[in-house]
Amino acid sequence: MRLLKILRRRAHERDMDDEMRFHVDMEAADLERMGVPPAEARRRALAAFGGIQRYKEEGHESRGDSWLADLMRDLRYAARSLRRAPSYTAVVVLTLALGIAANTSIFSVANGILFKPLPYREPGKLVVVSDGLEMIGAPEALVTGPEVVRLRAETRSFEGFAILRGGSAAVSASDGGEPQQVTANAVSVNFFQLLGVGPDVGRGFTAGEDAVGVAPVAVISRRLWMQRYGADRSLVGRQILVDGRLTTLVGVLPADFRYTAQQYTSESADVFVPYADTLQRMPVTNHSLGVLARIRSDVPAARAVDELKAVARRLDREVYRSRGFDFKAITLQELMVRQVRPALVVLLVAVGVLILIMCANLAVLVLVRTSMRERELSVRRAIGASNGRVTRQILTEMLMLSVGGGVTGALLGTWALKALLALAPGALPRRAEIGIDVTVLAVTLLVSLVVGVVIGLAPVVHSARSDIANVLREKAPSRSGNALRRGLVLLQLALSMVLLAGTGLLLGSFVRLTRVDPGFNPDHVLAIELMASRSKYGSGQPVANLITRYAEALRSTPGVTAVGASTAPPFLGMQDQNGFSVPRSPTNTGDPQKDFVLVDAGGVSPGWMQAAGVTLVEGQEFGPEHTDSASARVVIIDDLLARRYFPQGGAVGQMANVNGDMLRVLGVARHVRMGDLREAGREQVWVPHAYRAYRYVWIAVRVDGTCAGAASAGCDPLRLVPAMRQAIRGVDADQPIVSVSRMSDTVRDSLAERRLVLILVGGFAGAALLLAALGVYGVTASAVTQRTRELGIRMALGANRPAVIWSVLSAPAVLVGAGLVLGLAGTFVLGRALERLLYGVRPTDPLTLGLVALVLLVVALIASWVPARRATRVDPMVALRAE
Amino acid sequence: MANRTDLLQGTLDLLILRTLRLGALHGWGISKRVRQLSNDVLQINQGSLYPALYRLEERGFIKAEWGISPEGRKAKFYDLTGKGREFLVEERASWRAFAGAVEAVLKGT
Repeated sequence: MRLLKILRRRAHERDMDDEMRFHVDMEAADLERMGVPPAEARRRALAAFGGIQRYKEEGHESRGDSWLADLMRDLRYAARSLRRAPSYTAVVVLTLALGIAANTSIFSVANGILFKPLPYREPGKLVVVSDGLEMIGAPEALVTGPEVVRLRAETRSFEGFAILRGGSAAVSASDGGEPQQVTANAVSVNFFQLLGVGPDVGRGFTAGEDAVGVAPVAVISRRLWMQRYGADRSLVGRQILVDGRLTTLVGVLPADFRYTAQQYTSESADVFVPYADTLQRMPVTNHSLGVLARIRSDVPAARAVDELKAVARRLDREVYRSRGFDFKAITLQELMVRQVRPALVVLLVAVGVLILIMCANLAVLVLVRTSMRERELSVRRAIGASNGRVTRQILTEMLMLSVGGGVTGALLGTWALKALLALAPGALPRRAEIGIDVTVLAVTLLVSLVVGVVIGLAPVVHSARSDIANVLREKAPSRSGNALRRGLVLLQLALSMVLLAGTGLLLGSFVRLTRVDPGFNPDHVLAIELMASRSKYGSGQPVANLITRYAEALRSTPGVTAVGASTAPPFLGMQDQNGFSVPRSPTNTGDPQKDFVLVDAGGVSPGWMQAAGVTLVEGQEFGPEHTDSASARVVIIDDLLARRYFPQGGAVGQMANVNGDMLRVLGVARHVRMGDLREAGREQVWVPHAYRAYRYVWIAVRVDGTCAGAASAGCDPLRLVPAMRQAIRGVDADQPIVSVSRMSDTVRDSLAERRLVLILVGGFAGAALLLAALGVYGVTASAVTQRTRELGIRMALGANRPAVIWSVLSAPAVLVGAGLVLGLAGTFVLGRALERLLYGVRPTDPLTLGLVALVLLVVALIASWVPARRATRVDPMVALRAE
Repeated sequence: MANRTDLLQGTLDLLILRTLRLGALHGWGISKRVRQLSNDVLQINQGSLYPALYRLEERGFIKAEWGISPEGRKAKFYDLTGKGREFLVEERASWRAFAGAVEAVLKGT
């Protein structure tokens, strides 16, 4: 209807023109009849009628079709006036766009990781249960078989308990072919049913398929099915080779299925096989099972947890001799996100602060523009524009800018998110679930509109109050906006201080972390990850022998200086946790609780210490004489253990109890940081690989760092990979290699998350500093402009330059001082969010905060000194003529 | 019922409708007629007249039609509708009641 009216409007407008012209003509004719000369009559008739345009407007309004037409006219007008101020338009749109892009990308990541429900049936009801063994320093240990049996029998709040064991397997087609090493999880048959998501081709596991001795079955991931088996549907129900055993492929998981025992939902494990159910017969000390439970949907979580605790109390009495055993249950979602939450919270806070600064900056820009347009607005008001019309006009302009910024920002945001994900550490949980969130985008656009409206309204309110006559006479340049503007700049300064302080603290932590000595030397070392085939080598001695042969083959490769294998190298593998004690230590107290310690244990082959660059403090490392299980009853302890048990030295040659076995101490090595540069971690022991011959190993290969004979291929140790593959194939042509990586990369990657947070917060802080500097500059510059006359007179009367400069600088100096104080207060408040990301500095570190304050002070002073200097150059004559 | 809170506007509507009771008139004619009938006491501000006319037309009390004025010019003539006539009767009664009440108060003091 309205549109129809708009279309009819032109005709109507012509009608009104005609009608009013007729009125004026008639009036003029009337006057002429009374003897007034024609020209004068016409003038008087027009004057009596008033502004024709205005009555036409009112005529429109009374017809009720003005809303859309006005909007269109406002849009045209806004577009025109924005085109006349291209730099203003560009700055506002860009600022908005950057803010929206930062906001959208960071919030999309946070939302995808922290808040989006997991892709399972009723994901909030899924909990991971672990053993709380605080008394031996393992607050979240894996669960034992008998415990799972008890949990299943003695609870009623749960739909079920599923078991998961991480692992790896070599798969190939049933007719053999190149085997491929993939992640493989053994799960109880109720696993998919409990998740509520299972194979969409074929079926999941059925009861009985987990019995010992039944024909093996497997479910594989969509990715493996597509890449390895060409998405062949006819394969389902037929056999493939898993670790050399003929296994019936019963199902294929959907493409969006994500669950692995290792990383939880980053991506799917490639192979799932039933966990052979021998739970009851597992030793009560074998903590090796991951347990996923689903609370019944009609049972509140608290009651389910109570039930777990009750079972834990009984187990504590019956199995753990009342040493304080407890079950820990945390939701699957919490388990996945708790590692990255502190970083995400910091980023959310930082981006929030940046958005505030940008809003303040926009407000200042709009304020300045409006004060320049005050005259225009006043004139429009004077010739009869209603307050409503003027408001609508300004709002239209703001809305146009908001929409422009919003759209640009949304585009920029999608791009920023891609860049962010590319920079993010590989282990980012739920990576595949992160995308530009439509809700986030919608909210951000809405916020930008609201911000636009609010910022736009401020000057309207302001100009509605200003006295039209004064403005028109150009008397008393309006200063009422100045206080607001100074307040906004103060806010910018304070918030910039917060972001700068955060950057300083993160940077300090990062530098300290990169200087941490990890206890080994990862430079020029490659780690070759592989697993010996179970079907070919079984377990125990043959596995150890195979690894020895691999090591020998690699050692004879040109350019290689040292080789050694480990079941758990730093930053790569998972160590065993073993009990450790020294029966004849001089420090023993007699209290087994105190004399016993839980240590990390890894199996290493001869030469590993040298290859990985671990320093031996005392004794020697394992040699060829320790490569068979009979002679391998020796151990290398770290210097922390040596200090604890042998403070006077003499550890070598002593007997130590490792997990119940008495082993002779062969040497003392420097403590190695195993997975986290921030903390030393548990004390550690190394045993010969032959003693604990796990099939899954990383072979460390130290490459000649001088690059002799590597003229063409450069000095990258990766140049030797083809030769190394060949050496391994020479021993066993079917050996799949899982991965080859530089150890130095692995160590560096452990800091990837921090590096990303540092880069982002630093970037935000840089932007904030720039905006704050612009704010200070603007405030000082306009103060100088407003005081041109006064300053000119003072200069003319002989005031000296420093005094004049100071009189200009004092205001911004106060502003900056207040900003610093406020910012420091803000840092104390927001520093808590940062605490968990810091290393070696406290959130209130005076040196960092002092330096940051100094940086802000210097930047702010430069920003205000530039316009202040201009004040002293004011020519008195120009100044006096200025008004 | 007219909006009594805005007395002026209501009164203007009443005056316009009253002048149109005798027959169709164009805008200028209406303003001239009101001036004459009130012995030059009431002058309709043209700025109010046309918006009021459009408003009344919108509400269906008057209808407009292009015609030829006695001077031989094209002009827009306004005429009362049936609805407008009823409204005028109603309005006139309530205006009289109102004016009478004001008069009574003024006499009373």
